[in-house]
Amino acid sequence: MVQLALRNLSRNRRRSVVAILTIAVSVCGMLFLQGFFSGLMELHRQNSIHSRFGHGQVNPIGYRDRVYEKPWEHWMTDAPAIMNKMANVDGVEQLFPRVQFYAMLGNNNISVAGRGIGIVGAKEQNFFNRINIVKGEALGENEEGIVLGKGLAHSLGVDIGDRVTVLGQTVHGSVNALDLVVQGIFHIGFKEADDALFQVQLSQAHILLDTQKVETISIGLRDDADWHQVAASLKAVLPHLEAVDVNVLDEVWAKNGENFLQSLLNIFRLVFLGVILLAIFNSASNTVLERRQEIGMLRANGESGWDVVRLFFLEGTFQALIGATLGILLLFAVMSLLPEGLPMPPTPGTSRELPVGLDIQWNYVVSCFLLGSLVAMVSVMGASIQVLRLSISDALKQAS
Amino acid sequence: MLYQIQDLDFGYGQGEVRVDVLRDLNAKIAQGEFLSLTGTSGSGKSTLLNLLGLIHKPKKQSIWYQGRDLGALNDKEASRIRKYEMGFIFQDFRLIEVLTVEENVGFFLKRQGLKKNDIADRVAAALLSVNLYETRDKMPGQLSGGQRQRVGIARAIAKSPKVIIADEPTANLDRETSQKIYNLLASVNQSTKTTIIMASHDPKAEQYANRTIHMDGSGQIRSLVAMKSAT
Repeated sequence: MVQLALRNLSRNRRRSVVAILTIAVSVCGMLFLQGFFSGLMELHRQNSIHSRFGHGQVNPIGYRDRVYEKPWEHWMTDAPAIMNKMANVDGVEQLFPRVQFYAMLGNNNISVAGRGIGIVGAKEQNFFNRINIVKGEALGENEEGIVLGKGLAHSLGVDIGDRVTVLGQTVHGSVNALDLVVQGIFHIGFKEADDALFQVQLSQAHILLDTQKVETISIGLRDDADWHQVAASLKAVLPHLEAVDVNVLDEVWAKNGENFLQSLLNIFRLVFLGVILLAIFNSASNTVLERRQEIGMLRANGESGWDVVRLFFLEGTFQALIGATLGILLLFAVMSLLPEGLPMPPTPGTSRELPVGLDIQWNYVVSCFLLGSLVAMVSVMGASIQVLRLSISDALKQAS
Repeated sequence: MLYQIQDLDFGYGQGEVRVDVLRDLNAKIAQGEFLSLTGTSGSGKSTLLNLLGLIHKPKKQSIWYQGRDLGALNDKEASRIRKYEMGFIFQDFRLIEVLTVEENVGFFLKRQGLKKNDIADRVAAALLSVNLYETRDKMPGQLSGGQRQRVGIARAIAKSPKVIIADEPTANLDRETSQKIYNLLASVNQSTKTTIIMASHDPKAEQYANRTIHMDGSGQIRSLVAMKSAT
């Protein structure tokens, strides 16, 4: 039966090829979309890690969940000691103390509100390498420098080398100002960030705010996968602080984005599987119809209806396995044609074009292979079950 | 006695659309006979052949095969008898186009679960008997009509059946080839003592059979020709 089933694939080559290609293209399509969506999420995650949050951050417990009138009262006073303890946790490679504050930025007659981040520029410039400096350079070690979001610089009408006054309020309530030089202009890709964010040295922010406290400490890990282990260790050594994952910090995208893309993927999956189901059912039905004479001959010679169904099922199984395997090979061929990923326009809420790599994981490959094959096999089974309703004499009659 | 037919009625359809094909038929077929069923189209010879070949199910107590009431058999039992005890030869050969001559002949032997060596021996013997051993590696599409029918006969005799059911085996062949096929069937019958029941509308067929049952359009046997030696 196995030998006959295999040989039967060549009986109507065109039909077999069409059936196999239908399965192949559908499996490839499912895998491509799964890889693309996964790549999109990973791209966004890496962007968030290397442009905004790091792999996570440490702050006082509950700090993120509340809005304080005077948030600095809740900031960490003993940052150097905390960082010492954090640095000793296995997996932690880099630490970036930060403060955030609101300020007015002025250039001659123009004043624009912005949200400042005090960073240690020299430490951050290598890790936060996805900030995408479109003009000038990162803050680095320049104590007098300021790096502006693209939209903010545009609103202020400033360029590299221009002077900007940052007007803020100290933690004691008095007004203070910094006079800085535009060192760079960045483009994260999120319009609301590019229109408001700016970076200054942490030391300058401390002067402006008149405090030495640190609001958060961002963490750069040795390996992306280490987060859970690092978070558990941090909880043990710093029980009064909480370590928050980048997926939580970037919750809107990480959670909603993933749910949205997963739903979209499920819809596409249903479409692809529907295509397989209908195409293979149609192909198998035609095959059964075409081979009624042979069915009659087999049944007359003592094969049971189920034996004949098994023959068709075996043929369908071979078709499904060949098609699904071909689909996977097709995907790898597509991937080899797109080594840099798929060039895509900006995602919703962003203004930066980035190529999306196909993030293909083996569990995806296995699940798509099985799903595509199973649906094809179910289709063949559904189509060939009609053999059971066909009497031997009717099958034999077809030929005469 | 291989078959005993007693008061056999058979028809198609139900109620007002029912067509009676066989009525009150009685006959006996002995082991080793070469029986020819002749008659015009629609006379019921193919229907009788299908009943004897367990393709149609007769009513109970109307046909006995080796003492078993065919009307009382379930599908599984009927399949088993067809698989192990019957060979079929069809008008249009019905070879499996994607298998070689040798594989076609051996296919049902494999399905019977025979060992590889036994299959090879039986296939070789069957192909030698139909004089097609040299073409064993060819595909059916490479053979003439007569050769294809000989493969069909080889497939049937390779099963070493008790009975071969042949439905118009020469209908698609020319006169000369038909004669060769009749001779071949007669020779198989004589050498293996396999019962052959052959339906044919070719009047020449009865010359090769031991006995002929003539069927008329009324669904009854018109005449029985006495057993004679095969030519």
